[in-house]
Amino acid sequence: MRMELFMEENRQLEREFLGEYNLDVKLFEAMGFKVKQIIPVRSVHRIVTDKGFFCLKRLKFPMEDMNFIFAVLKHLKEKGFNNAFNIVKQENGDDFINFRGDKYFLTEWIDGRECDFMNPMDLDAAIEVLARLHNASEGYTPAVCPPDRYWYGKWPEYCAYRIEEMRQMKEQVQAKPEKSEVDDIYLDYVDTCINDGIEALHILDKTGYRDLSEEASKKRSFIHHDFAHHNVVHSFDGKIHVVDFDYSIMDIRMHDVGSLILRNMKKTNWDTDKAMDILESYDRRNPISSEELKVLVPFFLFPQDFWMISRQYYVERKDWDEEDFVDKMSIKSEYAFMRRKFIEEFEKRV
Amino acid sequence: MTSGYGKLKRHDLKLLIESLYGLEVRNMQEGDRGILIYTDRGLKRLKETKSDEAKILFAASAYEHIYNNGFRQISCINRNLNGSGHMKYDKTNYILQDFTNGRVYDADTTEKAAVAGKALAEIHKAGEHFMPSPGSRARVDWGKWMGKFKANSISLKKYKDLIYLKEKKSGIDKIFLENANEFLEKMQHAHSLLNENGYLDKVRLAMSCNQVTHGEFKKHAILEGEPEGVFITNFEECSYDICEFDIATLFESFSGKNKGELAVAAANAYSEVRPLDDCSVNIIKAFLICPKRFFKVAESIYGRRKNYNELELTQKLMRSIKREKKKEEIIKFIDSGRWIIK
Repeated sequence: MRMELFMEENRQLEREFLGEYNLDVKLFEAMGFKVKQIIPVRSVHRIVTDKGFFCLKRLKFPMEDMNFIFAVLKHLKEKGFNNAFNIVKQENGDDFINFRGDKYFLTEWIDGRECDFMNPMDLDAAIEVLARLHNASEGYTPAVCPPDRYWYGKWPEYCAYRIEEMRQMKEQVQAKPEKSEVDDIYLDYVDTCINDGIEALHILDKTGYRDLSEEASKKRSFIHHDFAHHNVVHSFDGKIHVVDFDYSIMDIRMHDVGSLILRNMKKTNWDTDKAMDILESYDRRNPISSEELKVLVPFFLFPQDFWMISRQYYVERKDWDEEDFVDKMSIKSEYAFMRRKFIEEFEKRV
Repeated sequence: MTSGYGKLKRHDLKLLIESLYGLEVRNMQEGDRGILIYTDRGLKRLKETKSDEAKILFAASAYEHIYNNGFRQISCINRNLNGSGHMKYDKTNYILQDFTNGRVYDADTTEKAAVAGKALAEIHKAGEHFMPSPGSRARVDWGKWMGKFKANSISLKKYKDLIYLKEKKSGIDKIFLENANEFLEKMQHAHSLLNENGYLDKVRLAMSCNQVTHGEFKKHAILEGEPEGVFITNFEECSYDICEFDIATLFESFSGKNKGELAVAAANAYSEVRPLDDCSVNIIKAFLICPKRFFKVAESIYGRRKNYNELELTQKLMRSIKREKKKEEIIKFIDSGRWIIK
């Protein structure tokens, strides 16, 4: 019996991803419980069973990556970081279950609300937990670290690769006989973004990035790499939980801090005061060195959003509405100018 | 069924409601507020909703919380026999809720405004310590207003600067420019008022007692209830927030020339149940000053530019300016010294 019968919600955004789930009563029988209700929440399922609530996830990466992620969670727990959800072991003691060619795993489910970075209290609590996560991450020695998850010292390489990809996309668009609205926006901004990327590389080269990477690699620390508001959950008893370590990588902590600042800048119209508040809040918990601050400048300057949306359109060819692409492309292109202004102000302040 | 609910088949609907909710449907009547269903367990309303199940669950449990804490004149969402707060028909979600035949409550006298103010205070009191049902998706507005006002004023300034640079200004550009400075100042003033009047302390307090608020406490949410009472509906947009937001929304809904008097009557009645301090009054003032309608239209014109229709947006912009000006009377009244909370 297919489990669609149990579905009470079918959210448009997640439909495509969740459709890949091969949910069947037999899967849950194999897991050792009876399912009463399944509700899709973002890209996972919240399942209500005779043994309680769980979060069901399908393994979307190769086993090597999954072992890395499972080991991250285990390491955090061993280091006393109790703000991540625990993996619920299968009856045979494994972290996951094989079912009809797919692998699934369960974590605890805790009801709560997503963190809101616009709320200064929520943001401060999120920074506090991020700082603790970074401290607890030290000393992580996975049995195997997939090459894609080893980022120490790799920023220049990745930046150069992305700049080259933007150039290739530009040639591809220029060669098109008829151009779409997205193409026009891309061509309007691509040169500025390529130049920003090149400048970011030059600035990065003059910072102490390599030493910072060297230092972090000695400490064997990892980062969350997707510290978005929806991955920080406040349970109603006042506890805070970090979820979704799927993108965790070995890298310097400024990558997480910089991303958190950028996420906030987009919501607050590039308000430098907010960026300074975040840095001060993090620095109170984990002091930030001046070299680390310098690394943030090229991090902010690199047109990551523009590269990403262009890639999704021209390379990955995501099945989104053309209008959505036009919207996203124009918003992310405009960041190029706002980012410049922000960096100018940021450099004065730090 | 006709108009908005035209796709619904009366017989199918009757059977569906009876089987899902274990009710006997005696009659159905379509109105401008949804479909009124006369059942063996009283009058109900069937209302279409765009919310997903998790959000409906949040609203349903908020309604139940308020009801269980003693505020009974409220349009609770009925749970079906499976415990769910909604039903699905033709791929659309509907909620079935308790209802009343009462008309929209016209708070045109100070006595009536006081009734509305008191009802709101009672809802807020009943809305403390709210923990939603498991599986809910909470709407949370705690602490976001100050940051939002600041971000909005940066946007307004950006739009203004961009239009100044334009060589050929359209009609809509000119209307925007004529008003931009005034509303930009108001947005900035609203931000400083929140900042200087302990907004974050209020948020901390609301967070510590899990305060749920109505979120849309305007004219159509208040219906005539029992003799001289009110029946509260449209709680579906409820959120975790500070109570001052709802009070400001109530004040905005007052019409006529005596808006100031109505607001002070409502505030006094509110304060008898849940005392308001000076900071609360200034926070309410900040919400009133904030030109949110003007900003929303300006954002559609110069920000998102989605579904851009100049004629329609020009009308919207002019309407928003008019409505922003209407709030001035209450703000002036607060500043005049005639605003006395007993």
